Amino acid sequence: MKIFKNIISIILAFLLMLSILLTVALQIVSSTILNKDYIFGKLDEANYYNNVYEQIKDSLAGYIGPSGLDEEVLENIYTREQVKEDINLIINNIYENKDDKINTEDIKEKLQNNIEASVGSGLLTKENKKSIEDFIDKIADEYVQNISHDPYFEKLGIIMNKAKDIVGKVDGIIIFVPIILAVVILLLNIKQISSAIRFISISILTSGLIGIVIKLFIEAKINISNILIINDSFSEVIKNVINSILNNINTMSIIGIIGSIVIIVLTNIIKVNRQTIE
Amino acid sequence: MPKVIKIFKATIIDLIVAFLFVIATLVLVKIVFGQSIDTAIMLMNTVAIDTKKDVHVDTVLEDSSLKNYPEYGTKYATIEIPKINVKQDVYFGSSLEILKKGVGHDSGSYFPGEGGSIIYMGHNSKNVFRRFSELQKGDEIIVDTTYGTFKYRIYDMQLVNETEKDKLPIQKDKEILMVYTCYPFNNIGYATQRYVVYAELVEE
Repeated sequence: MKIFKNIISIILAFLLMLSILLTVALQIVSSTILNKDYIFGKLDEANYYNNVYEQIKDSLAGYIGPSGLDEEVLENIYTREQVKEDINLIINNIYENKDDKINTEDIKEKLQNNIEASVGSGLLTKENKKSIEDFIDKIADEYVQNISHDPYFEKLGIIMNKAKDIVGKVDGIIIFVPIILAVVILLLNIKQISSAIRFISISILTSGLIGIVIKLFIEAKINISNILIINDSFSEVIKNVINSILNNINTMSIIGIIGSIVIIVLTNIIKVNRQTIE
Repeated sequence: MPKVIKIFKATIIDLIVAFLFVIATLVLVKIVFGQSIDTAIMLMNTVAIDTKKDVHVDTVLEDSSLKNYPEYGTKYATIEIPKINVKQDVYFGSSLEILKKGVGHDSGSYFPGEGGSIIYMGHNSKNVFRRFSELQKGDEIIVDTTYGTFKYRIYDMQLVNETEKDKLPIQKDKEILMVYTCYPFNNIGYATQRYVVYAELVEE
């Protein structure tokens, strides 16, 4: 009977370990990648807003060469604050499944004024006016493209919302699975609570070890520092997010390993002491 | 048996159980998700390439086919049009960043010597192709690459809209160099037309 009880306890401990891993993974995903505020923090940390501002400046300068216009016409047509607001709008679209558009009317108006001040509107031919309109539209499109990165961010939004749906559905339920399994192990070993605690600790220890294995495996197989997606500034954010997730896994795993080893040793001390007394 | 040894023994057994759990889980994961994990790693590694690593190898032309294509964004040739006194560096790629440096090579077109359509583009600024209108049939264009020099003769000039991609056809029957710039040359604003010069290979 005792052997049968131990086998059942081991199986339950194994299932408990799997459920702990799943719960922790879901918690990490929902508190990082699927958390809008976390991403805003990471964008700030990676200096993303300023990098995009500089990147827009470079992109727009490429249109000056063939335009016959002075580079000064691009001065003060947008601000760092505006870039930050527009990036936040796009991030909101991704996370809230919205389709708010970046308003470029202000940029167009300022650019139009700068061009008129530079070349003088009275001297322009009809053809010139048309090509200036096209130029203004191109500049506005380039500004939007540098911030929205369509179609990539659009696809990202679809994936994010699917992931949020799935996590939202299981998140409330999955948290109870390890609790239920731990209670069952405790009930099965009600006469020897120290054994039950040992089994639960073994599950936590195993989860911690697997966490470390996952972290080492990812670091060994993927050259995170060389990731390049869309552009340098966006890649920096991705690298920061991955490293931060790996650090979270590492910290939680180490806490789990140390805590569970301490509990295992303590329960074994209690067990041996009890056997000595008996 | 002393108490400490008993505790130590019991702890070691528990640790062994934990390690067996780890191995069982890893085997289980390998069996169930092995393929998906490999695919995910492969996909991640396609965007995690060490671009700083020096992998430079010389481009060589063998039987109308290039070995070791130039890297995107690198300079691999110069284009010279004696008639309008133009000599510019040619870069592989056509981003705005590249066009700020010199003449761009459409990455979807062939390279000189490969026997197909080659598409070059440049700004209509003073230093680049502002004087394109002075070119006439019979004028020469010389492309000096890192693997050989190619001489072309202009046989046609056309004004096309930026959307008319069929006016710059990609084919591999005949080596044709197509060089274009924005039109009008003294335009103010964004030019939606392109002035294209067509030249055929005359000397390799």
